[in-house]
Amino acid sequence: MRSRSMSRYYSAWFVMPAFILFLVFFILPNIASFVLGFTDWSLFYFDDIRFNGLDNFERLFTEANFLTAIKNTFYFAILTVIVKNVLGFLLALLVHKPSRYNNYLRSVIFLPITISSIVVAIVFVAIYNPSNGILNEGLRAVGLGGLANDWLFDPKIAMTSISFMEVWQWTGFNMCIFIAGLQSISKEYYEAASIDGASKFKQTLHITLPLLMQSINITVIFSIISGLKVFAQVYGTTNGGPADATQVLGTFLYKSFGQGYLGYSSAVGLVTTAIIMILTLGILAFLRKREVEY
Amino acid sequence: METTWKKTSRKTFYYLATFLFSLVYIVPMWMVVVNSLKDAKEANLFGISLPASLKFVNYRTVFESANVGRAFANGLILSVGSVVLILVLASLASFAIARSRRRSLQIYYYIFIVGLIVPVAFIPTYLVLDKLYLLNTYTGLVLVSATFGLPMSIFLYAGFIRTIPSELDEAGIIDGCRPLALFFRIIFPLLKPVTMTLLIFNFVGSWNDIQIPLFFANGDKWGLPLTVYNFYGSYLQSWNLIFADILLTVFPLLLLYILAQRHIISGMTAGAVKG
Repeated sequence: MRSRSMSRYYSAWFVMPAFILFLVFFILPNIASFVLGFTDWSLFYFDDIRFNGLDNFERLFTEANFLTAIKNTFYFAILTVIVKNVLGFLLALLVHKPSRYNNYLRSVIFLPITISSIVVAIVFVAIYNPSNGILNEGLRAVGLGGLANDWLFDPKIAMTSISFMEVWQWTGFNMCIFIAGLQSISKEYYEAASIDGASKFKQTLHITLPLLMQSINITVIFSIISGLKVFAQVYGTTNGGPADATQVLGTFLYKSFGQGYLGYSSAVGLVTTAIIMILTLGILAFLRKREVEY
Repeated sequence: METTWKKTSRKTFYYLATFLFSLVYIVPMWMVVVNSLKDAKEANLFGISLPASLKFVNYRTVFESANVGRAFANGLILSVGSVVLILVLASLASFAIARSRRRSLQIYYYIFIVGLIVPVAFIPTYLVLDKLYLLNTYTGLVLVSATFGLPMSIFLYAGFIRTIPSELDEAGIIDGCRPLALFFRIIFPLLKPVTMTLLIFNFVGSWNDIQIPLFFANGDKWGLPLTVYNFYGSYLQSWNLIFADILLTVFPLLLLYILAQRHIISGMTAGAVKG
């Protein structure tokens, strides 16, 4: 009786506007890519779409640039996940206690998150400038001129330089999540541990880390997903160059889209989606197993 | 117990290390500010010394040549439009999802949540927009941007609504509220903390996003970040103007950050913490 009369108040119609939008602009396109990825659809024959079987995928996996793009995407995702989390954790340990100075540090480190990644990329083009950029000038000023480099256009280190832009911009995000996690850990654990004579380092290892696991899982998943979707950082600096050495999946897709090969680009999108899904779900399952509750 | 000497040296190390680290953030911002006020020849050297003479005229030049006003208006239309749409649609959907015991509504919830992991399929979305005559229109951009914000917003709203006692609904119903009035008069005001969080989260996301406008619209519909990139491409020899344009671009959100810093930090991270 109750549930029937209530269904008027919790009507399925309330879900419909959001769902229709989601259906038309998210679900439908994702399903359509399973079809479009197997066609020769292009801007040149826009309304004449024909199936071409596995042609797109054959072409993809024989194209050296695509394999470079996969390699670079993984490199970016793995490097940024590790550095953003380790650095964010250490920073959180340093600045989590409330004080005026710590507040200043937190707001400074968090600030770049409000800036568009493409703008950060342009600023780093200046910072990484080989002749006058502040990175090389700074290295020369402290007598490390030998380490000066053409950060963005030496193919050997370009991906690392691009990864550090992401680290610079987003470490503050992880730091703030860890700070929230740290503040929810009861002080009693530490008191008990120090009575038992555990050192600060041991306390961090055996109390802080396990109790922070949930926060760490979240930041790892967030970082992996955003790392695999990398686009603006590369688009804004090297745009995949020199000679496709810094191409990532996002820019590779945009490039083939720009050239008008829509079916081919859809295939790129499908492969990207598959990679992100498999990795995220795998890591999610792995991390779930390791969460601790006290 | 630690000796005082050990304590002092630890404090010193702490201040030194953290201050040096904060420079990693401050120096680049300082570089943008001082160089935006130099002439082109001086700015192209990317020095961090003060300008020989202050060239405020750079800002006027940028305003006139980079179409800052238009891009600002575009950003505002797209961000405000998509945020309003997200907040209304997501809260309403989440209300029914969180309250109803019917299984069908729970299925909708899981469908939305899958959108947190599955990436956007840009190319087929391009086709959908084309078929609906929405390519290169504000409507199309707002709808797409709102759609991409739904999963996270429904996830947070539904989680929050579950913590609100349903006795409140019953009281409203006894008082004679009709279904939509029950939601908008009684429930929606209670969602204010999440609404604030999502407002900030989605506004910042939409304002800074470049992929949606890049794939689905021409330059005349772009917001500030993409026009800066365009400007940078055509003024490579005038870093003073590029830096001035960058400052004009980050200024609105920077101002917001200075005024509502606490809300922004908690807003941007709350989503993650509650997950």
